[in-house]
Amino acid sequence: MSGKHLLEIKNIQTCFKTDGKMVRAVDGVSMYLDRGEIIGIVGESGSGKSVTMMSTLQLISSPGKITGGEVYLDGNDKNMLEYGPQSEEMRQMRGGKISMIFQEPMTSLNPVLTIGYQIQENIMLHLKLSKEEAKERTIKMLKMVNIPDAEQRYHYYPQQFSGGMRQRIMIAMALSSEPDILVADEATTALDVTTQAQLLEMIRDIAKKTNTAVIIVTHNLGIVARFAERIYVMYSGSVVETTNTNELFADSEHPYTRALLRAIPRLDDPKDRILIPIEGLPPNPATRPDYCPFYDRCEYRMDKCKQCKKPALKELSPGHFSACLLTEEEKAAKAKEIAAKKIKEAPQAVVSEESCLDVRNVRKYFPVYKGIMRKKVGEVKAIEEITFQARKGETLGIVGESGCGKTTLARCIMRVYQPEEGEIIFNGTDIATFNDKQLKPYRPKISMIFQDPFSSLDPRQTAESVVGESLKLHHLVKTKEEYDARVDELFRIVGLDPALKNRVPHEFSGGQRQRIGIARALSSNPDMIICDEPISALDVSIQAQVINLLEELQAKLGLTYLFIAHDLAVVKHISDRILVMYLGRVVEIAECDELYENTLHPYTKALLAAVPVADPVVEASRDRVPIRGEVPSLTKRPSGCPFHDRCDHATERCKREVPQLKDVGGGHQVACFLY
Amino acid sequence: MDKTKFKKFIRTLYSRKIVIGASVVVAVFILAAILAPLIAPYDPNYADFAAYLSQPSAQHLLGTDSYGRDVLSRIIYGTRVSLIIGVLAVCISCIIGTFFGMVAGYFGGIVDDVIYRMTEAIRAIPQVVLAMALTAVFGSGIRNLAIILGISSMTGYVRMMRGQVLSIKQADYIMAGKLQGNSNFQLMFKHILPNSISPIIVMMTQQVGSTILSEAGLSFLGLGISAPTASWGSMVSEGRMFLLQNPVFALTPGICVAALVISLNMLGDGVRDALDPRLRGEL
Amino acid sequence: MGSYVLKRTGQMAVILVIISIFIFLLVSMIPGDPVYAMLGEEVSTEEYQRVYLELGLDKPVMVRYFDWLVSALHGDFGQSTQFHKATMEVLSERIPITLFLSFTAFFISIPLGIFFGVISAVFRGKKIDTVVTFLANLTACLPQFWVGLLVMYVFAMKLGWLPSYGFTWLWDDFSTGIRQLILPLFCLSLTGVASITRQTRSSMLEVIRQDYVRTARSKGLKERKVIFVHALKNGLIPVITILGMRLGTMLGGSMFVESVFSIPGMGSLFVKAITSRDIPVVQACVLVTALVACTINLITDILYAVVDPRIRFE
Repeated sequence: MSGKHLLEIKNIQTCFKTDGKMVRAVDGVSMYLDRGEIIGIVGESGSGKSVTMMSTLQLISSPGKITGGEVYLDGNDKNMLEYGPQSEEMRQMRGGKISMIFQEPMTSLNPVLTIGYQIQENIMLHLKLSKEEAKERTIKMLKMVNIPDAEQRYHYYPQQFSGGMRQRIMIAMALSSEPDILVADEATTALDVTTQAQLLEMIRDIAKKTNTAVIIVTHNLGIVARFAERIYVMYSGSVVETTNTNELFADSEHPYTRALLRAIPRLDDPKDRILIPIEGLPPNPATRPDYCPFYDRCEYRMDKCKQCKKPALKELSPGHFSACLLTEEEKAAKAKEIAAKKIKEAPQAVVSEESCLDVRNVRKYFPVYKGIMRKKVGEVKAIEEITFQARKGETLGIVGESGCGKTTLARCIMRVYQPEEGEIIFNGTDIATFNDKQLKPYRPKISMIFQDPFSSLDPRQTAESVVGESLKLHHLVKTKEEYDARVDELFRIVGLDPALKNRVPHEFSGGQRQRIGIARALSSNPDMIICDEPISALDVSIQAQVINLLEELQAKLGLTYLFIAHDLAVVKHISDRILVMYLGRVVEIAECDELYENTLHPYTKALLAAVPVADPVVEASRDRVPIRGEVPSLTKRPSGCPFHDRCDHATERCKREVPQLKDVGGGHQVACFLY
Repeated sequence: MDKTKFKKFIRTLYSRKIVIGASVVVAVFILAAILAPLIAPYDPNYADFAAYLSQPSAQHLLGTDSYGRDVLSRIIYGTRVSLIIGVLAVCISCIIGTFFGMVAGYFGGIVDDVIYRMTEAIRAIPQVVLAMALTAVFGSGIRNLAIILGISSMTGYVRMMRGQVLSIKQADYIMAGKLQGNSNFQLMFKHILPNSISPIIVMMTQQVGSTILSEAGLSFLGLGISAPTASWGSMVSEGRMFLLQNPVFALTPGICVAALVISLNMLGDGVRDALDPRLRGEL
Repeated sequence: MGSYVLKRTGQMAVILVIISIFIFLLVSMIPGDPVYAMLGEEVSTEEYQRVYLELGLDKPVMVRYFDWLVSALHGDFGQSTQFHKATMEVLSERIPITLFLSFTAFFISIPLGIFFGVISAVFRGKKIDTVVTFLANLTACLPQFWVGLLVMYVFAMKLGWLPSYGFTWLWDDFSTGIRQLILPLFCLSLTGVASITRQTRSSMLEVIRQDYVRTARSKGLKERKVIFVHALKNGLIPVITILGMRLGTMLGGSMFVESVFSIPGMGSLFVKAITSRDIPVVQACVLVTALVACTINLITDILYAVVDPRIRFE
């Protein structure tokens, strides 16, 4: 009974065998796609969104197994899953009808074959062209995805390209066989935000021109809001809601979708927006209950939800399906109840006028060695002339794309690195030139929260010794009782049960591990905490919990935060002021709202424009600021203004001189000759 | 390793039949070595010239050698030599190699350069040749052989540990530890070493077998354990002269070497899989 | 690429210098007086003086090392104490035999090992994989000298098909030479095949789960093409890196095989030199082996760069 859809997936089920148990990663997912349509599949990690697409193409390898379902292509009556994964029919579908782009650009291309060969191979296989014709088409495709010097680059190997370029090559390869459907599986997640915007816009333009349908698989609600026409929301192996994009964001039906939209920070948020986190964790697929998988975290839950089996998708209005047992009336009543619940007020941190950290003209160069004798042949100028100030109790956000030097800056302030030049005045003392011994009294006063909750905790240490280590090292407690009491207190401060303190890190979830990391940072009573991408490794539904915790702690303990991140929406939500970096230099510093409403530097403009907002209405009204090229590597930094080669306003002067930061009023500083 | 983890380790280790089999074989050899004086039917060095090169019989289950000594008894005593040298050499190379590897990886720079180049140089000489050359210096005997084989297989630990440290050093928890004020010494022994234990144990279990193999080889060439001490390698060497008359005498000790080494390696593979499934060459 | 080769050659030179220091120090490490060690305790005072000066023991260690290195580079390792001839003269006939055996076994085991490894990885979990893996694991544990004796007992002594000892250059007597070679080469290649098989298998299995293999499959390529075009080249790269080491083990294994089959190569000489403390010969043997092993390492490193564009375009 397949209709006229280009692709129809029905009730697909995929299991993975782990520890002798069958774990259902995809639990009966159905979806369809029409010719030329762009749809989005959103979900957190483990929601089964990628596995669904891989199952459709039968790319699941052992220990995974597709245990049921149907896939119909092009209105054909034949279920594609009945063909074996190696069958002629399946191989024609893969790559020929449906092409796929994967997440990791650095590992998805074969390192020992030229990119030309890899694309040409695909063309020859599916379009049955001769070698010469295929080569011609390969070069055409490379030009289409804006690879410069395509004729020469044809002979290059993947590792001679940057990540963004490699993903362009993947796109060229995927589209080279003239597929009907392009699946982009988190295809831009690993890339910088400006590159991400460039690539997605390019995919959309090409798809619309060639009438190719696109499936965007992502965890980023902003991306689907900007690019997708219809959206499937997945949770724990099932689709929980689907409708067209505008309706989903304006009038979401499923409690999960509603909760998600309340939990994520947006670029256009007002300063006092409160994030409402989704409590708890997504269920482990191995122990997923029979009833609604969202039940345990759902604000709308009723007793009947637990008694019934997992709800099926129900059509509420034409084309709008939601998998929830509650009736409209029940939901409305619950919604009223939730709205009436007093929302915890946003904690108000007091920013004093006193300076906590004063960074002046800091530079850090890394030497480049070459040859057997390790001769120094040059330097990479990681950061240059960094000057800024952070006041006590303030949150200073530091944003920038890869290679902008934000991590180097953090490490200079933490004095992991010794800066070549400049002053780092912390609480009135210049610590820039201190040696390890001199630093010892300052170490406890500056703490750090790391990005990766898995690599930042020693897997062999118990949570207790992670949190208590610096208490012992700095003799902050005198007796064993005092130590235990302090550790318990720290656990409670970050919202963890002290009873869990004897567990080792891998027994905690990502969010809990990040809380342990925060407790460790707090243990030495610091004045300042450097947060290096503290939430970017967490799932969207967990991020809000950690953001709220950080804000609360700041208000309670009067901490100063340096909040480093690439996600502008998060930075804007949490920071008082934002510092924008590009290729090792500060290009703009301003108050949050000022930066958003009165953006001055051309780079900041492009950066802000590239960040998608999780609201299709807002998205439609935003200005597009196209940006040329990619962030060059630090060794190839252009002379003069580092941004001049990508800037539309660049003049001769920008090529020669480096613009200095200057105050344009109200503490808004910008490094650009335009102002 | 806490109790539950240890239990889980044992359970995974013995979930495969082949590992159980290998453990039994290894256990038999260990018991034979310990209980040698009790179970050996004869004194291994008692020469009964009347029974010169006798075929296997009820009196001498595996026959006698060219001095009329009981082959079975000598094999049982030979187990001691093999196991002692195997274990000692592994300990020596593990301790020295791990230390140098850790120091090289942790401090980097010139220290690393010196240690790494030295290691590469030692590695460039084939292990057997290196061990043979060292016997010219140290001489033979159980203690010397353990030292020689320990030194000549040390480089594996240096390389492995250096790689471990280099990758663990990248982890944020090392930086966190440093920022909290841990000294280099504390970082190395509190954070880096405990996290490298699994690959070290895996390497040790796999090395015992190869050391026993090398010991047998050196003894076969007459550079290892010398007469009259019974060792498997030298027994094969003595027996080769009489291969045609009494093949059992020459070939059985070799079978013992092979059986022990195979079992040790299988046990080692099992330990590796149980400790860290990622190290396994499958999936 | 050129600079890569240059760099590798430089590193090899450094390693060889370090090795030469080791080897030189071997003499000083030997406990007791080196002259007594060489000539025995009952030596006349004049004789002692002569040898003492000849060995340059009155000079500082650095000078001695330098003198020794210079003459060693000219092929002069001094007098062999057991043969009373120049060391090189003793060695010159034996080195080619050992090298011939090792290299032949080396080149036999490479294609066989890679073939079995790939087969076993491609049919992972199937019967053929189980058999190949089992045999490879088994043969890797067998003592080489014992395998030698076993095949000698069966094929030479019991069946009488092949000679049990000796070595004849093929150009002197082809049929005898070949018949004498079969058993030693079989023994020597066996462990080589086993370890190359194991290495190839695990490396191929590693490669098969890489992202780019998934990409190749997502293009709809035939599985055969995925394995032989996309996976094999990547899978062989780590195998090549260990090939250099393999030749070293072949040279080591040759010591046993020569001993078992009474082949007059470097190995049997080396053993004799060690037992009679003939230090110049020991030094020369170790240095020659190291030199050969290093050269092969260098060649495989270069080969590695040819196969792996990641190195070439660094």
